[in-house]
Order: sequence, then structure tokens, then C-alpha cells
Amino acid sequence: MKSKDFLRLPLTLLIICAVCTALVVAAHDYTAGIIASRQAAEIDAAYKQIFPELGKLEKISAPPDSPIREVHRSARGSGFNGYIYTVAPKGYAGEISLMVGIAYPSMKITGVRIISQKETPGLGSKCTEPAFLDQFTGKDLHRNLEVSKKAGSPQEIQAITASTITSRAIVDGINLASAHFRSNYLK
Amino acid sequence: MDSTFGIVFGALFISNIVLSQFLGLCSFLGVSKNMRNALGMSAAVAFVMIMASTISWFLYHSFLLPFGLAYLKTIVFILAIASLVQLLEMFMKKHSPGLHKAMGVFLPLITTNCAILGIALINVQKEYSLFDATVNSVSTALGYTLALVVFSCIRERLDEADLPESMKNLPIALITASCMSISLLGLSGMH
Amino acid sequence: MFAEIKKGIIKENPLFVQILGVCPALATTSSLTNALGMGAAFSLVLIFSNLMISALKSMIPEQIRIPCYIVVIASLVTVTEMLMGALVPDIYAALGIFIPLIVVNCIILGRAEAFASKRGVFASLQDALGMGLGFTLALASVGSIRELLGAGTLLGFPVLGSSFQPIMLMAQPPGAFITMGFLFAGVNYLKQRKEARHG
Repeated sequence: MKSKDFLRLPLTLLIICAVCTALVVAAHDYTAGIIASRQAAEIDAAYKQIFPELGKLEKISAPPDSPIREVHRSARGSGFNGYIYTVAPKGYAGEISLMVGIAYPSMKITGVRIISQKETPGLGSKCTEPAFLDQFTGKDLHRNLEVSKKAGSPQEIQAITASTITSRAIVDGINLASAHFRSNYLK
Repeated sequence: MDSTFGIVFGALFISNIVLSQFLGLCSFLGVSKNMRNALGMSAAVAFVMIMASTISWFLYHSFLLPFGLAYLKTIVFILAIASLVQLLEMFMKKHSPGLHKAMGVFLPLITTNCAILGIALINVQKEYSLFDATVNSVSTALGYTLALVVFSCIRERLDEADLPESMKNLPIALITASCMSISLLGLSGMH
Repeated sequence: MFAEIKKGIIKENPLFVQILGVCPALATTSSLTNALGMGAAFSLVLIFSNLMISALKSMIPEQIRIPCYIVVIASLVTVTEMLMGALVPDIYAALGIFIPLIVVNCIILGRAEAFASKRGVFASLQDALGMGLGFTLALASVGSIRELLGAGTLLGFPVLGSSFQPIMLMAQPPGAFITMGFLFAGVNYLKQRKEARHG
């Protein structure tokens, strides 16, 4: 290596690195705001969808070491009109992350929405469809829900065909949320 | 959070790096024609994967995250991997010619092996602790070895098979991989 | 004039002829939409990397060219990743880790080394357009087969009618391997028939 190269090589690499990093930082500054505001809007829309009478949301502490990830309380007027639970039970292929809205004090489900899932495409992945999720709306959570092949009694949820594990995971997740709700917030 | 057993079992079978995550396919298809090469490549990949993911973990958690530069991770990781491979090659050449002979030919190919960068990225994406990240990269390396060695044994036999000319080599190899992938699919849901 | 573009699409198709970029071709083709998204992200990175490297080639010393290429490509990939996260979040979420992994896609580094480092800016642009288009078309062919058989739809619209029973396996990893296997067999068949005719 010539002595001239000794300086030239690292310098060139340094300049290229600096230019490229500047490019990336500029792109980051441009996109960070867009991404953050879009995510906030998405979460907002999701809350509104599963809990139409949304008041002022306040995050309250979730139990540690449980599939319950987040609990939000909706304040309206002088009291509270509902709770939103984010739970992540184990499905057939990894966690199914979902949100459930519970009206207070009626204890009825106002809506369920799947945030993320990795279930088998065409089978378990049907859990995101309204045909399955709409069954939950209006269910009374004073007692646990049950999974069945054919929905009969008011506490029963009809499983997705050939995806019992997925269906049961979602119902279990909601039961976990409602049990937590009953023992902590129901007087 | 995943349990340690869940990480090991998942990395070995359910989400096997090659057969269900599609990472490291170039080397999987390229060096699987006989078992000797397959073993050499697996050893080299395992070695670099474990070192690279540990280094990336430290880089990410001690520099990038504290300074709010997490978005530079791809650039930093690939540079770290490229330098690591270069250093390893120089070191092996000088201090252990035997090892260099066994793994040397595979080393330059490893910088562009997506399994290495993939695992480094997955470890930070899943927010693994250093222990979990190490467990994950060791078991992923084992999963890679498992897939590659089994696959190379099957391919050695396929050479003898009477196949239509256009199905030979790559096409039948991919269809074989498909069958292996189906058998792993049966294991998902077990964890 | 357009020869550089055309060669990437058929004669030197990166996936089917050069057999490069197999990982994304299998991983991101569960639907046509994802395949097109991956093709677009890949082409964007390739076009800018070819442009930058051919423009900078006289400045980059021979000995450190590979690290320089890697830095340029990695930065372009990061920029693409952020832009996709901001502008097309659904595709960004579906492609996941395969966007940052464009960094180690052999085609991009290969074109930098074999073409952009030797030729002018305009020729490199054409080369990148051709290779990008060739790779995108190849991904799209895998993606359409898998989406048609796996869900009976194309780009999310039902095509095969309600009597069609989707082969769900096609949307999963085994379907990717088997589709690629038969496509490569088809390419081999065409190649061998052509050789037999000329031989």
C-alpha cells in the first residue's frame, strides 16, 4: 500500500458513509412524523370501532405476566362508561393480538377487533372476518363465553370451521379479560 | 414473551429458518449437492451467525438505542457482519489453516447470506434479551444445519433417480424442499 | 438503445436465468400484491444504487469498493424501508423483514460490481430498469400462481368463482417451494427445447 493510499482510502470511505448517513437521517426526519401520526390515527380509529361511545381514554395498569397487555378506561360525564382490553392469547401459530371493548356497567361486549395474527391462511386467518367477530358484539360478560360447533345458547360463540384452536384462543383471551374485569372493576 | 423452550423448538422446527422463513436459501440450494459441503457450510454459518448476532445485539443496545438511532440498524449490522467475516477469514488463514481449508471457501459467501442479517434483525425486532437472543441464534444455527444436512442426504439419492431432463437438479430440489416444509407444518400449534 | 433493458427481462432474467434472489421470491409471493410490492421496493433500490455507483465510480478506490457499495446499498434500503412504512403501510407490514434484507440481495451487489462500476450512468440506469422489471415480473408470476390457487383471487379480487375450492397450502411455505420448482422446470424445458432445435 502506498503512503498516499493510507490516508485516501479511509477518507473516501468516511465521506461516502457521511453522505449516505445524511441521506438516511433526512429520510428519517421526513417519514418519522408521517408514520407516528398515522399509527396514532389507526389506533384511534380502532378504539372508536370497537367502542362507539368512546369518551376520554385513560390507560390503567395491566396485570404483569398475563396475556392481558393493556387496559384502557373510557371516561364520559362524571363516571366511566367502559373499558378496552388489549389481550394477546396464544393461537395456533403464535400470539393473536386483539382488542375488546366492554361497556360499563352493563358488561356487554361493544366490539372485538384483531390487531395482528399469524394463523393459517384460509383457515384460522378467518378470525379477522366480521362473520366471526360480529358474534361477540352484545354478549353479556357476567359469565364466561364458550366455544361450540353451532351457536345455541347466548354464551356460545360458533367456532371457525376447521380452526377450533384459533377460535378457542380468542374466546379464552376475552374470558381472561372479562374475569379480570369482574374481579377488579365490577362492584 | 416466548419461553426458552418455545424459542428453541420454534427455531428448530416450526419456524425453521430455511424451510418456513425462507432465509439462507442461496446456500441451502447451492451447497447441498453432497453432505461434506453441507456440513462445512453449516459450520461456517453457525459460527458466523452466533458471533454476528451477539455483536449486533451489543451494537444495538449499547449504541443505537441509547442515541435514538435504531433506524440505522440495517446499515450498522451489515457493516459489522462484513467486517466480522473479513476478520475471521484473515484470522483463520493465519492461525488455523486447517479450519480455513474446511470453511474458507464458504466464508466470502456468508456476508450475503440473508440468514445471518435476518437473525440479527429478528433478535432486535422481537426485543429479545441477550440470553434469549443467544438461545435463538444457537438454535437457528442448529435448525439450519438440520435442514441442510437432511436435504443434502436426500439430494445425494436424487442424483440417481430417473427424472425427466427438465426436472433435474434445481426443480426437483425445490419440490423436495416443499415436502420437507409440509412435514414441519404439521408441528405448528405445538408449543 | 433499449437492448440493456430487454436483456434483464428475458435473456438474463435475475430469478429464472441467473437464479439469484430466491429468498424474496419464495417469501414475499403469497399474493400478487405482496409480490408487486417487493418488486417495486427492489427496483427502487437497484435503480438508485446503479445510478449512484456509476456516477461515483471514478471516486471510489478499487481496494475499498465492496464496503462502499454495501454502505450505499444499505442506506438506500433504509430510505426505501422508511418511505414504504410511511406511504404504503399495509405492504410494508406484509413484507416485514424482507425489506431490510434487500441489502443482502445478491442481484443488487452483483449489478454494482458487474455493470455499474464499469459503465456510464445512462447505461446503468437502463440495466437497473431491465433487471428490476425482470425480477418484478418473475415475482409477479410466482405471486399470481400462488394467489390464484391458494385463494382463488388476483390482487384480492375473486377470479375463479365460488365453486373453486382454494388450495390453502399454496399460500404457505410449501406452496412457495413447489411453485418455484415447477416454474424452474418449465424454464429448463424451454431452454432444452431451444438447444435441441439449434443443436
